[in-house]
Amino acid sequence: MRGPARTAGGRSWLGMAGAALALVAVCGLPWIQSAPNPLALGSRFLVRASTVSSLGGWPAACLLAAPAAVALLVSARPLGPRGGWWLWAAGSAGLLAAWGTSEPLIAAGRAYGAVANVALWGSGVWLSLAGYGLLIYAGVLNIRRAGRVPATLWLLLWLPALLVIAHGAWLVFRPDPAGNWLWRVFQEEAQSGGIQHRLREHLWLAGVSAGLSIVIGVTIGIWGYYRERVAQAALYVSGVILTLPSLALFAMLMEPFAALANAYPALRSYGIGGLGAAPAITGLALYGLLPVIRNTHAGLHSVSAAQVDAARGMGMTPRQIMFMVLLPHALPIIMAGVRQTAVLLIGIATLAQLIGGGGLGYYILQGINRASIAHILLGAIPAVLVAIAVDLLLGWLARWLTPKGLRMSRGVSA
Amino acid sequence: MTVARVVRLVASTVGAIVLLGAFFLMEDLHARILLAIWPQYPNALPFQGGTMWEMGVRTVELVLLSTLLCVVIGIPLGVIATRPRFRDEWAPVVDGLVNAGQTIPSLAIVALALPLLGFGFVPALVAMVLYGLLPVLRNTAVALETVDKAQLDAGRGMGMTPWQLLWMVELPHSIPVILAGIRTSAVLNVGVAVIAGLIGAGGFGTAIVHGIDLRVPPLVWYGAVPTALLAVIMDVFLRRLEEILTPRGLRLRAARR
Repeated sequence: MRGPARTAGGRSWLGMAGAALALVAVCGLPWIQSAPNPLALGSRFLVRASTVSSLGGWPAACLLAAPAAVALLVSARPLGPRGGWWLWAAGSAGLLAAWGTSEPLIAAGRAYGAVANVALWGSGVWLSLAGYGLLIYAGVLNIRRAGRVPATLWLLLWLPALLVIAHGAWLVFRPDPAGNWLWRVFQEEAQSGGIQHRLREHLWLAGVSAGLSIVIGVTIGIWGYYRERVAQAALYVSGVILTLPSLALFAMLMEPFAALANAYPALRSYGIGGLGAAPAITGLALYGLLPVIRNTHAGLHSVSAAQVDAARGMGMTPRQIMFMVLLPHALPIIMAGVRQTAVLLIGIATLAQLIGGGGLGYYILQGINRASIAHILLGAIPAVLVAIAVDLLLGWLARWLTPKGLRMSRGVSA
Repeated sequence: MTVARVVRLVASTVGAIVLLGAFFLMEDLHARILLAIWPQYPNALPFQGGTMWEMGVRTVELVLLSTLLCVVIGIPLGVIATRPRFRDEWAPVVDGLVNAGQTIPSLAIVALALPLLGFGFVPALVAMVLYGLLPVLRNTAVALETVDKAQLDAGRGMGMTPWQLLWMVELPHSIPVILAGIRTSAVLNVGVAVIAGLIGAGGFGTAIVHGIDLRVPPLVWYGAVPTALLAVIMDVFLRRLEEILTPRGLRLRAARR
């Protein structure tokens, strides 16, 4: 954030946006989705006067909507010195209310017979949680702007949000998950070993292809350092490959592999054929080339000519210059490309299942076939988590690998 | 904008449309070639799900509409997020959103549209807009943030109002980067449009998915080749657009970059 910090007391547009989002979510979006079984598309319940009075009564509706309304009124006018506290209080109250009333509402609905056996929080719950979260964030920002906040109070400010997160974690990981749809599907799959198997497949697909991309990409990048035309050609070709729709590329790779397996049946014993992991890994590896080549090329060229001259003056051979000067200096930039490739490939690897390659895409496709959110999330959430984890891990690795002398001068490597 | 630039703009647009249209219309020729390559699948083509022209129009519709919506939503959001009044609050939110969005597989977004919004064109469009919004938003915000502060000061010194600064200094300087974001978004959207065949959005995705399911290679290629062509032409066309629309004073610097 640049520029002089704004003085306290102005309007909080973020607060307004959060409050508006929460209000719309509470009043207009389905609060509970329910269906007779996980595979059927269900009905949706709005927190409208009619449904709420039968499910939880007017107090529930007021509890959910009032904080948003108050916050909207507060943030519509210039905030006073205490305005941040108002936003924070409204956000916290709303967050706790939205979180706290959803399960009781489902229970009340079941007792009343309005909610079927399988019930899921609707988009209203999630978006109002997001809106109230934004409100808390806006409030904390404005409190901080109004003056220094002691460290103990600081922790207290985030307490409502932490409480909700902790309770959510407990709900998901508690030992008796009766009534938790997503968890039930997850547990079935975990007990049968399905999710572990798919996760391993996914890591294997993305890992092998990313490894191939990195080895080939860095090699081409180094080659291109000596021959600019090679670099330009490689950048162009890999750019075109990245342009191609991933599903079309995978589909077009099936036939060459089928032909290969027909010509050399021995390959089939290694699992190479039109369907399966081989075309998927090839496609993924082709897809991941551009970030690696581009960053290797840029990284090698970012080394100053003076340093290369100095190395030459010390009597280093071209090979020594490459491995002792150029590559160590280019490493942070190359690693940024590797991170991009890894995150990209983990995402695209979900498509591998379409051509029989396995991986977490299995659950997403099952979810599409059954219109089951639980199955889609079962595939998507691990894929997102793996991508984030790999990104963090590679970032840490990049910092650790960067030569000490470079760490100070180049704080940000991306 | 000079006359020469307008002429180049029209020429590249017409060129792209004619090239694609001619390719889509030659569906009989494509079918005959594919059936000659794979004579063991005589009944694969013509495809029951639609002619190449129909699927092409549907795919182009999806891509153009979603990219347009991404532009209409993404650029104003990017502009808002970088105004001094909002920047302190919004910049971290936009950053977080963009970073989180990159890790979500496109297949997951398309898939989630099915149970939440149903089958067909509109759910696919919503998914594509959500997915394609991020590059436009990110590039707009980055471009506006990196406008030379000295130039802003110069503008301010000339007595420009904030609106004039935005229209006459900041946005013209940001055009190349914003257009690059739009291109990324459009190319991504071609990919997502194909995947959207899985939730019944129509277009080439239908032929590819059917072809894979039924193990009929000519059908796969009947869908995959025009899709690839569409993506490449889209990319080339938008690159050309970037060249043409970049203000003249900026071109030298862009070339050096």
